Amino acid sequence: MIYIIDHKDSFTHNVVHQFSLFDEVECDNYNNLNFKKLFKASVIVLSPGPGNPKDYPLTSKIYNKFKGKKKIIGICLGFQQILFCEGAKIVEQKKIYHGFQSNIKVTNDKSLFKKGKKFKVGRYHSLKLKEPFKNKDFEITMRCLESNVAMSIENKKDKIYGFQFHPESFLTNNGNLLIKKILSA
Amino acid sequence: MIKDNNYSIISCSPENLITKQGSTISTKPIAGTVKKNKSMNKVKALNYFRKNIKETKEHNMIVDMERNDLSRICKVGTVRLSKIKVVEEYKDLFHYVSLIKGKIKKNIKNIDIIKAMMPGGSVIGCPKISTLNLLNNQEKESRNIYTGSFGYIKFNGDMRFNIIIRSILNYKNISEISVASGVVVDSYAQNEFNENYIKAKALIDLFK
Repeated sequence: MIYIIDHKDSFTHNVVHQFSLFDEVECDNYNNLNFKKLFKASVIVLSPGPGNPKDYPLTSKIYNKFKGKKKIIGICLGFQQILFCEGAKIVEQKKIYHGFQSNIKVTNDKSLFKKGKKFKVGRYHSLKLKEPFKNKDFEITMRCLESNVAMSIENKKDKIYGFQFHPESFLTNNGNLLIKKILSA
Repeated sequence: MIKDNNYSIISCSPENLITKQGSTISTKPIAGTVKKNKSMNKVKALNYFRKNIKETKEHNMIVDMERNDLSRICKVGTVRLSKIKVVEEYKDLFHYVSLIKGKIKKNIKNIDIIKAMMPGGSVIGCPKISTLNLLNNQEKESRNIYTGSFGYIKFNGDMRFNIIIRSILNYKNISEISVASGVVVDSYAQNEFNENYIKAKALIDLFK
């Protein structure tokens, strides 16, 4: 079962539908989490949402508790939340991407996805990962072709994956395939 | 039109929030407006919208929001875009419009649909909860009926609800027309302000 933590977002049910294509999904609001379901889940998904990772201390606690024990997937804010918990700085970017379709590229040969592959994705974020970001277990695996901003992270050892873009958006090509591959990894 | 002893609402809203027929539901969000004139026809309007990054981003955001709201009440894998970013022509303007459809889950009641879909994303912003909180602080006057919704529910459960825009509220011998424009990060204040006159023109002309 997949447990989605909804950070009060307006895209979370798109995420629920996308993950439901592959497994049973439970989703609760950040303010009303069900710990029984959380413990039962094999995968935890950290949803997109407004604000900054600092605004969701309970999600950070959950991440730290289950890291290495369950597969964890973060989308947009969830991506930033993972990085924040790993000591990264999350900063404002000059250009704000809301409803923006960008071309991105797989830039790392350690990725689950084929290096060099380019595709279009939907983006809704004002914040980004401040680089350089060094962590021996995490690889930045995709980047925006225009701005070079980090678009995905992968930690194969602990099975942690994150996307800065929105795989569930209609602006993302083959978003379902991305999620299928991550879930089967 | 809705008419009561104390008030009436006359609406020619082009924005359909909920159309439910049997187990099929659709919503038709509008985000994107351009004034109609001699040099702006439907084809040119489509080119204008496609090249205009601000209008495109605003529209994309609303489409993903409305997909989200339909996903609350629809079967997995059934929420689809039947029309993606097309132009609709009206008396004084062109609108950028999409149409999203889905199949309603079993055991979903009409009240669940209304709760999931209202208020419409195009008149609130994204994400809904945080923008609603911001709007409550920013907007000094009540919107009254404006950007609300009215419609009908048939005895067989089918229903249709609009978003109350391009409407006249008559009460206490006063006729009230409200207009507004959606503000996103790339908006120019003057353009957004001018858009209000384009939207109100057809209704104001009725009083001339």
